[in-house]
Amino acid sequence: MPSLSTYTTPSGFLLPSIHSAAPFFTQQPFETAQSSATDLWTRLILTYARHRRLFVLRVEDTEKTGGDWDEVLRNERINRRMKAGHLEFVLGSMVTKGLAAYEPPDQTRSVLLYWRLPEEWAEVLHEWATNTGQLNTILTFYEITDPPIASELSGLPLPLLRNAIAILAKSGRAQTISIADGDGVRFFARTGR
Amino acid sequence: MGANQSIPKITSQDRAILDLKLQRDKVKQYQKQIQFILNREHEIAKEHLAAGRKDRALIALRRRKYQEGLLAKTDGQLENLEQLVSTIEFSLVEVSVLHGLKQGNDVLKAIHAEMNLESVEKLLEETAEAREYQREVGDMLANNLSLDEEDAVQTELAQLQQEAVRSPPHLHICLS
Amino acid sequence: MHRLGGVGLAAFDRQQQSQRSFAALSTQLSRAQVDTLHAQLDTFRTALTSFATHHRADIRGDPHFRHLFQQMCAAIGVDPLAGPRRGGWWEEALGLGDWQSELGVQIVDVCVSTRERNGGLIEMRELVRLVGRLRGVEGGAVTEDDVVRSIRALKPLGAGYEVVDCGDGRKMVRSVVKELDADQMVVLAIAAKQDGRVDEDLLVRERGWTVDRARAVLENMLLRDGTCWLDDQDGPDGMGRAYWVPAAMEWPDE
Repeated sequence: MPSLSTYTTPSGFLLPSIHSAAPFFTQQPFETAQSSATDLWTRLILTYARHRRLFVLRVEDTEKTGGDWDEVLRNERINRRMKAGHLEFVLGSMVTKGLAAYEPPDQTRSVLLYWRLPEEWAEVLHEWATNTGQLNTILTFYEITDPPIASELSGLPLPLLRNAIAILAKSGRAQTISIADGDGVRFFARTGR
Repeated sequence: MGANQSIPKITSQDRAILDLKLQRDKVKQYQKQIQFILNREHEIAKEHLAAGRKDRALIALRRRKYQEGLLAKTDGQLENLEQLVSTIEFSLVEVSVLHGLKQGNDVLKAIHAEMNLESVEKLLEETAEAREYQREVGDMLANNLSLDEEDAVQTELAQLQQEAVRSPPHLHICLS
Repeated sequence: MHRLGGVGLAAFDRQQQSQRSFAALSTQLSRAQVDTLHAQLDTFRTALTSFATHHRADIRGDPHFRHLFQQMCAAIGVDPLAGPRRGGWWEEALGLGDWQSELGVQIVDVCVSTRERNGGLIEMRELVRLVGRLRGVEGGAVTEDDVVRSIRALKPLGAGYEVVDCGDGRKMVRSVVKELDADQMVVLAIAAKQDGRVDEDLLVRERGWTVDRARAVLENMLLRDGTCWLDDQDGPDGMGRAYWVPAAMEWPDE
């Protein structure tokens, strides 16, 4: 009978030893055990997402193989996998705690993961604009999420980008420009002081 | 609110710049998609060749050549757009902007009509409908390639044939 | 989830302890003086209990507050985390001295920290190991006997601390008031031999129980007491039910 142990995945991620415990993949009926397990799953999901730069997690990722989340949602060595209902529950808990957001809204099967909080993304965004000499320049959203040179913002989902821009706008560090064909943004240095 | 004092107003020049950049982004996105399909068609040509269907390999290569031409055109357009964006003298630019946008849009329309993965995959199908499509495409291409381009296509075919003899392709294309 | 060794207990100030060491005092005092001391400690105890009741939330929530409070308690041998105490523990506290009560508080800390995952049931070996880790190198070695004696001292506090014998030399420590019935003890013993995993069939085969009886015990442990976790992907078809007792599993440090 294998004892609990950590395991390094092919993508170089160190799974915690709880991941090698069979009951971890079952939603627990007893409440304290359930909240304990949910906390562990939450931490695992966010750490993995940060490691692989994954922004989206869907309930359907539990049903298919070959996707980005296999290393976490399944454990082939003990022949266990997370079930759809269980993941939906964990996602709900993460959304309630502000660690994820339903995207699109008005459904509960797909989330954007906040392995960086929107406030943190706002700062990363402003820093990038500053360091690449692009303050006071009009930029399209595409330029930010698909820059010619890969950046911390490469692949950032649009809802997160909009959120970050809105946060910067509150401190006068970003301005949105809208025309018929799409949106753009202009960043400014910190005002005041 | 005090925070807005130092934020400049949005001018029509700002909007024009944004528009240019958005068009430029679209061209870039189409380029990426075209490149992907070009690669696909290269594989399809190899597959046909391996199965002894020389005529269809030729169609795939011709198609590819045609799209490469479109790509070259958009490259030029992209260069124009980027130049416009970087050298802003607005009174002069106003007219060029409109002109550049119209040209860019025409090319984009041609690309869009030509390019979707489904029609590319159709080249592999055996159905009567597919055959009819392939015949049409073949005719269209024959009329649209210059002599130089046609020569280049024939050379490419010969090259592929030589390669196939040396190492047969392993690509297996799945039809859905 | 409560983390061990972090914001829980800090090391006690040994100098202050020795100053207030009643064991040292008692050898020098006369009978009358001991009586007076008893009375004074009695008053102190009442005040302390009242304090604990009123500041329960602060003690649980604020590590600094808790540390100060535990220092106070350790000096007179009180378990600060248990409810109102029963009679008779004064003699034990005086007799055992500070070291024993400090250990008692550490045992309570470990049991409370692991309760969420094991439902208030922990294997003796695991408890000794975790207490040892809490005490650190300066704390000195702690044996199973030390722990057993400390737990006996905690018993009058009414919090349910008890050593449970599973048979074949394995012992568990229960830290919730819920009594373990005989059937649950059997399950624990079997789980301990199977690295923590039990199922209905196993109980039926090994003990000749009916399916109903096996199911009832396991479901109670799962749903009522929270002393085991469910695995519903067990077996070759991946749809069987197995029950895992964390108290009998080996949890590596992380």
